[in-house]
Amino acid sequence: MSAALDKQATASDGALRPLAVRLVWGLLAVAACLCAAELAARLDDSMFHSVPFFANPQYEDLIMRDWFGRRGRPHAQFRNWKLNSLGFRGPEIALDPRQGCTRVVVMGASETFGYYESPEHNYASQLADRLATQGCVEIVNTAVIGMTLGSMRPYWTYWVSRLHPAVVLIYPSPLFYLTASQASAPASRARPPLPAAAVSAPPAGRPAPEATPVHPFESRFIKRLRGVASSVIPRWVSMYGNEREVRAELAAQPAAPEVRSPPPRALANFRDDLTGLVDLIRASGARVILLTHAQRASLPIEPRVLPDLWEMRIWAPNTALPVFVEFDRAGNEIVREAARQESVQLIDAAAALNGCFDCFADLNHFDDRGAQLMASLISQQLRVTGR
Amino acid sequence: MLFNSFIFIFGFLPVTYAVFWLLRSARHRYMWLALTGYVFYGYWDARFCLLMAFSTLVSYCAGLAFLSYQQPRIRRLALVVPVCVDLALLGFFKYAGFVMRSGQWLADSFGVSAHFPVFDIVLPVGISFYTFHTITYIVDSYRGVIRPTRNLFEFSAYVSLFSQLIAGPIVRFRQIEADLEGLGSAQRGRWLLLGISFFVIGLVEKVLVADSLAAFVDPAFRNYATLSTLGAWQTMLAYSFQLYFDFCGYSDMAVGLGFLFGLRIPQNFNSPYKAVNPSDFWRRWHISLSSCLRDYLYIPFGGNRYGVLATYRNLMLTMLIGGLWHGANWTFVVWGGLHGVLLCLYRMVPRIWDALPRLGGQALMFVLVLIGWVFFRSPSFAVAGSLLRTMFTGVAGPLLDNSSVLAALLLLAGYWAMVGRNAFEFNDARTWTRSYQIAMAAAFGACLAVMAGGRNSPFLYFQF
Repeated sequence: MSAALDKQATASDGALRPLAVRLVWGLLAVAACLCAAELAARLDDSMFHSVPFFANPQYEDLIMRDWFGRRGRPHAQFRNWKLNSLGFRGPEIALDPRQGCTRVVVMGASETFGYYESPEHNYASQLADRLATQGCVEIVNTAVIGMTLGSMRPYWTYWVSRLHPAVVLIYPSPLFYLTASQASAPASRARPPLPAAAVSAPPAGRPAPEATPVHPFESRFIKRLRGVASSVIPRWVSMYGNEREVRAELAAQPAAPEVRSPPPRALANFRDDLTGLVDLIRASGARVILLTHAQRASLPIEPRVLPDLWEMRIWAPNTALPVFVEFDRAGNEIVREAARQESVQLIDAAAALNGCFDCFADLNHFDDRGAQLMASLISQQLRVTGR
Repeated sequence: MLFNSFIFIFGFLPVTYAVFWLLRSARHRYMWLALTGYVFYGYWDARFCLLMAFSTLVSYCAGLAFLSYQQPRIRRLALVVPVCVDLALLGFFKYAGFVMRSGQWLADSFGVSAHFPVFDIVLPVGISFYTFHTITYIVDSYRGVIRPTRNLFEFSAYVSLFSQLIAGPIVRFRQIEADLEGLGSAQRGRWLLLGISFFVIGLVEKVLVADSLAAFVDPAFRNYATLSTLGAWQTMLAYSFQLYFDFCGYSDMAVGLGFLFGLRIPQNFNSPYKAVNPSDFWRRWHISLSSCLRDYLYIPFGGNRYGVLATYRNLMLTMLIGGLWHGANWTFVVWGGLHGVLLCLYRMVPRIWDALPRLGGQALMFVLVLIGWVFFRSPSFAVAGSLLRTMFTGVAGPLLDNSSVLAALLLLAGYWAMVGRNAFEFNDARTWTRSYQIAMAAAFGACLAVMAGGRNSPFLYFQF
């Protein structure tokens, strides 16, 4: 009896062993695959984007808080966004314009910084390429992600004005003023605080490159996969998620009234900051060119842009969807009016690009095609000389 | 849908593979392969599926005519009509704009007042390849080299087979006929590991080598006017290896995919940069095209049967047409002509060429091929001329950006292409040990990581 059991156990062992061996080898193969993937992601970043092999870069590395406010961190790098030694996008430049060259500075937020475009395809870069044949024109993209017109004023005074531009292009983002007029954005979407540069005095000359902050280990392969996953998720799925998030937020604060029209106070703030900035820049002797803000949506709202509006509503849950378009339109009217009153050149990007579905990656940010059209529009209308 | 995309690797391929092997009969498998071929093709532009279906039907009917009629006149008709239809489609979509542009240029040059219409025609992806598939099928049927199939789904599966549909290899029906006939009794496990091995090696060639080199080549060509002599040589070296690993990678992936579905697709690249003379080069580079050019152009032109001068003429004609096949631009014709001249030269003085030491012959051939790539890659003669001037006149200036990384990549690519083993040699010498499987898994992981970084670009041969 016992011999029979032993035999049975041996036979069952014999069957299990190859399975166990295969399982172990399978796990080893998966482990090798993951390790090689992480190694390759880091090598790739190191070889093609100069990201140190052991660093764990984050989005916040791109921006630092200087004594006057936010600006780009010199030499910062995240994904394919690269900043030069002055903390601007684009090639290296000196503080002073090259002899005989006209320097054109572009100020704005993430739309100008270039969020979804391929490397060197943000509209400022494409504009530089287009103007390269028309004499020496230096285009400097000084945009900083999340920068409002209000924060551009100290940024201009203490930092950008030192570039001595002859022309300043301003591409404002009116919707910041709508979202700022609301209760705080959901905690889940709030960005972590920016690291402070702890500079106590205005930087003299070229600032010394700062060390990138050290972050805990995070798999870069997984990060890349997340990026792929988010790009393949259908728009209606992400809209459903955003809608749920907004509804949960609204349920948590039932007393807050819904915003059904552009808040006058927010528009007034936008107007004040815009005219203040224009006056400030003109006082320095530079010529200002204002651009209206272009959006994927236009009125009446098409169903295909609803996912973009729901994504935007995450930042202002109490706002009815059409208000995001109406506020932008009202903001653009203010820009046009300011251009008339201040007698500055206006380039009406909204008139040219609003409603162009294939020009944007979301509600506000250009894709390569949109950036190309924007660069073409500006290059056609830009008067580098004169006032 | 690219072979090196997540949607293909984790969506299209697993579904196609699983359903294929769940089906039992050859007929169902033909239908499934044909259907998935159209899905794969329609992913770019569904409109062009109709074009491919039309071309398939025309060629299939020609095959039926060859089966039904033995009278020479009818057979000739069944040869000429469908071949002309196929060529007309190719000519319209690929060459109409080119002909108009050239006509306008000629008229302007001679001061003739003529206005040629400007066509803005979208080139259906892969049209050059599937047109070749259908034409070779018709001609081989006419010659009696193959027996045309009566099974529409079998023929449709052959034309629209997704692994070879977009960028080749140009697989002739006779090369794959036996496997297609036996598809109903094909065994899943027989070539599974070999298929995976070919696919992963191809993926490494494309994603890790070719796409990495593309990151240097594309910006350099955009700024070709500012390159220094060293920078221009760096650019052309990088492009030479990029093109090879891009196309060879695609072909190896196609071979691997063929194995996964029980089909043996022939070798398309046999380490061409190891070639020591022009003739050797064309026996190794894009083998499926060069053998088609030989069998369907050079030999029908007369080959080497009518004297020396006629042979040179035939060689030149074949290579000029081969160049034009690559793209509707005179730069491709010049590239083809250059190789035609090299082949003629080799035919004239084979002894002198063969007297070179092996390494010398290989180096000379590589440099000549590299110079040819200048025309192949340049969008116009102005760009090609500027690059050649820069390469040979000593323009001072810096190297390309990130040159140390480029140097490492060139060394790796150069060693692999000129000394190392290609995928076929690699798989011939390899048994599937556990450690090899682990190495394959690691290589696959590395490719996934780089693909997820968003640097992958379309295969260069898609444009042809």
